[in-house]
Amino acid sequence: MSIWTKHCLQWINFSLGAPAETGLRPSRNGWMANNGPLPHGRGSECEVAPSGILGVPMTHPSYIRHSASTCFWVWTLLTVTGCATHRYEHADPLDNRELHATYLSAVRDRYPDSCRLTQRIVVHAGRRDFDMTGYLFMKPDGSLLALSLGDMGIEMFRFQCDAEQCEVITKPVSFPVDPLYDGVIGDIQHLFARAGQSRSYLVRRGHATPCLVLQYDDGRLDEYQSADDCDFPARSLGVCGGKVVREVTYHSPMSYPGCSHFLPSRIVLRNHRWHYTMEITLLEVRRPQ
Amino acid sequence: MFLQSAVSIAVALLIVPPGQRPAEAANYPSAPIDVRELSPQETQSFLTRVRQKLSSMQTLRADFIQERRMGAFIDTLTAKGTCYFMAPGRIRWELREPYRSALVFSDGKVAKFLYEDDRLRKLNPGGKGVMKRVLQMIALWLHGDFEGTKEFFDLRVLRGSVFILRLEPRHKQMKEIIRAIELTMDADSNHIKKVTIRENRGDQIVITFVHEELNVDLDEALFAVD
Repeated sequence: MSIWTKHCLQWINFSLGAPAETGLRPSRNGWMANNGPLPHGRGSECEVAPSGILGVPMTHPSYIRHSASTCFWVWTLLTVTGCATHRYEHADPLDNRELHATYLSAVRDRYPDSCRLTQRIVVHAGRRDFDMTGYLFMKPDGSLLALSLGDMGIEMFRFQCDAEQCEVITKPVSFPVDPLYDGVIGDIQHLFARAGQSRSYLVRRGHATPCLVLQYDDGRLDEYQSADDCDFPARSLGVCGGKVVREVTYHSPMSYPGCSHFLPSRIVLRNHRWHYTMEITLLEVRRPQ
Repeated sequence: MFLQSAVSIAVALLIVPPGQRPAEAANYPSAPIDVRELSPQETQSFLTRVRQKLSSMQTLRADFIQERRMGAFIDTLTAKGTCYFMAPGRIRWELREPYRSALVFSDGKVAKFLYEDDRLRKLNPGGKGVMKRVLQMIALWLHGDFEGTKEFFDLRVLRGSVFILRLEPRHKQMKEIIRAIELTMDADSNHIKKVTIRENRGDQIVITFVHEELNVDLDEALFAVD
């Protein structure tokens, strides 16, 4: 990702009040690239403190004056690209203990605690497509390893997550690290990780099926709307800093050997922060012998 | 990310004169114990014979079994498919398991296709420039031409009951990804039976070729990029 593109994304995030991404840091000579990895860990996309352009707080008068003149261009850009994130609207809580327990169990145990998932993954970013074979290894202690292979079996990405944090083990040499920590790892946690330390409650949005909300200590929030005829969610969204950073739809539930309930054979995730779409097709679920 | 790909080639039998210094078996994990490394002159002679022999190959079709053996896990990740080649420089690498896809290189262009419910969907892959260079190199290998390879790899040939052509990257970027590519060649049939890509983490990819057919009729449509 070029410095200019990073700069534009940073301006968009600043203007919308989202947490700053530390891919760039201000200096007297302008923007400089951060060469080190972001501080990593579950919820890292929400742990970075917000700061404005040139490193001043967003409430500082100089920032407000500067940002006012950029708002027009930022919103023009957003309109043209159609890539705006939107604020998360909190819904009214719903008191139904039995339903709450059922939904919570469905989300936390949506995948077997020990298994290997084989997936086909296609990522659309800009006008480019990247297709990979994905393997997700899940262990009973909640840790997981995500591995993606390119053509002829070459390793492209490897992520390791435990209960505390996630790490990028492998990535293509020239690939920027920010979209991985801030984007892809958050996507994997939202889709597959067992919900750890979180507060959960039910909400209802109009006449729609009740939704389960998981609120984490690091500021993240995940909302899962259950399908009418299936234990698995029909759709979900991930929230950070009050903004919806990802939206997910789940399709074509199927029965897989060794699984107690149906699993979605196809998942479509839209990451609004990093502007890519990920299509995941579940090919196989393998349980340990 | 595509620099390290490789496919099968056919090679000629080379009779190695007695008295050659045996190679260290530990340096060549694919090699049987009694292997001998060819001298530079023998290697050049060997490669010349390979080129002469393969220049007559017009087409190739071979099924492959691709296994990724992971050092940290007991799991072996397996994929299967078919490789097609048409001289002088067309390649189709078609995957059938765990899902269907095809990577095609033809007339200097690269195309990637996915099969979805038996319908073909064309992708716009990133890294086309790198893919082109890699697939061009593979096409040269299939014609027995290793001269261009020397810019990117140090090349050694081992001879025992099999031949092993070992390619070690010269450039830093590729060295960070792979340690070596080894082509294991059957001394009797002169065919490449196996390609081993050794990654730095200890993982290795082994591509085993079966049911090879040389100079068979291949449909031109296999190499269409549109």
